[in-house]
Amino acid sequence: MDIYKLIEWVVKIGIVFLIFMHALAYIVLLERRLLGFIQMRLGPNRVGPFGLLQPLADGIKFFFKEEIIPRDADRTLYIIAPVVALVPALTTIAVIPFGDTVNLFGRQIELSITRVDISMLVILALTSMGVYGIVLAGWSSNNKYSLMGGLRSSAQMISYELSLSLAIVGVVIFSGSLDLVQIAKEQMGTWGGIIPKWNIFTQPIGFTLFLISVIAETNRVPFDLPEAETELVAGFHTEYSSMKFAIFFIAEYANMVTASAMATLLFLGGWHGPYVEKFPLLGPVYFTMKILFFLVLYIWLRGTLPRFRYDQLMKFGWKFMIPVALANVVLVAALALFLY
Amino acid sequence: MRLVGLEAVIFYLFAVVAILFAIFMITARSAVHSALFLISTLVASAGLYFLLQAEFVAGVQILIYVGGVLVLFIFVIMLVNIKEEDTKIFNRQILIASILSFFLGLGIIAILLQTQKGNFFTLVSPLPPKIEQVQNSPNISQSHNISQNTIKIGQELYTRAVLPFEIASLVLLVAIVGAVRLARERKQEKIYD
Repeated sequence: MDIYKLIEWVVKIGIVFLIFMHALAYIVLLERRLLGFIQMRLGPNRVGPFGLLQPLADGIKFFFKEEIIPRDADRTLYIIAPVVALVPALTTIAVIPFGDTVNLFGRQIELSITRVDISMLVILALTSMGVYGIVLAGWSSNNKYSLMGGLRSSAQMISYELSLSLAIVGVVIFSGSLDLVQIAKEQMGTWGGIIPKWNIFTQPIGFTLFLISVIAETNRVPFDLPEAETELVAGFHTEYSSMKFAIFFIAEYANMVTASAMATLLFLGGWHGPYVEKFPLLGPVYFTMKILFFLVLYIWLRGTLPRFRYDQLMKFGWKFMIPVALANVVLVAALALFLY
Repeated sequence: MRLVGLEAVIFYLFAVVAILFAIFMITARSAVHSALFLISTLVASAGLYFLLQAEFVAGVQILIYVGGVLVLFIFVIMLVNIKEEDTKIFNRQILIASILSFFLGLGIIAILLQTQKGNFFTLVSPLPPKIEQVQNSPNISQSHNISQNTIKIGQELYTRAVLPFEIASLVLLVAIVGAVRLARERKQEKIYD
């Protein structure tokens, strides 16, 4: 194998991983501060300027907390569960493209860790495995509240995964590819120089469905029933403490970032923006900005909406989301037939 | 197909993992553990599909079996109380089961020994799939870049395999309607409303 290729891979993996992990820590801070402002308070602002060192302080605190394993817990599964939640969440970034090919140091470098023909399918497969971390955590803790959280999350994930996949099918039909790079490239250019050719304008229904299902998939408010504090005492991670709890936290935020990246690539044109053809290095900047938009939306929703009731959630998922998603697929397929 | 180098290493890794976890699955005492071993087996076999360059099949295998069917398995296992099965894994059917599995094993060995060219232990590589053929077929516009075997599977499903495909979906539909009918009778429906 070409030694430069190897170096390129290692450097890319290192940079992406470092940025990703730091971003996760700072998204937590962003969430706490924004929620603070929404609720007319300041949020954490004591550690460092504007509270910027808060994630570090949190990390150190997590490491020094006492680790408790319940006596009747299934020890192996109890320890494995956080890992099972984290691994798929972090693996997905390997196939997410964050820019076009750039010329750096005299080499053509693709701005993604690896390029797979079916990257959309890989991401869906990996995110569908994330539910096991939650289910196992709920079951192995040997606590009825945790078990309820695990059960709820498995039912919820299955229900909303269907409408999520169906919403994505619409985009796949339109761009004729399962490759995220290709899907993003299809959205290049503008209509009349003003409106960008993003899928959000051609498929507003698909976008709405995608957004709702993805919030349910990542267990965020208003769909955060697996960890509803008021009824389940934090659900599946009740018994977890110390770094194991933190790992669940990281996994949740990693899933949020992946979901935002998916929304960006599928509906908001990925890394495309003004002048990106001339300066390909602008791509990652636009990409980050769009992801940030979705993250702020997540936090905003959390500050605004109350939680669903469980039967409302299931009813909404099966009786509204899936029929509409199916109708959307038929509609998009018919449109695609006329346009091509 | 003769495997060499890294491919062989990965193949044997996945194969051993799949077989080992399949054995663990039937010997595990707790039903949840069994389901987890089954998941590991399925993931390992998805890895084998990747090695065969059937990425689409591998992705769908994980998406449907690992991400869907097995989640439902675990859901049901957690709902029902399974204290009884926790203690004993053998029951009175052991005699008939061993006879059946003996014949099944004989059948598998017989099939392995009569594969098309030579037997299993001197496998001759099958013809490599002709990717160019699919690429050049007029139906697919060149601008659309789906992975080749996704196209192939789609075309086969809607041409040669269309009857089995429709029958399978009909069977699934019947199963769904039946399940709903069993779970929710008129009376329950009234109570629910």
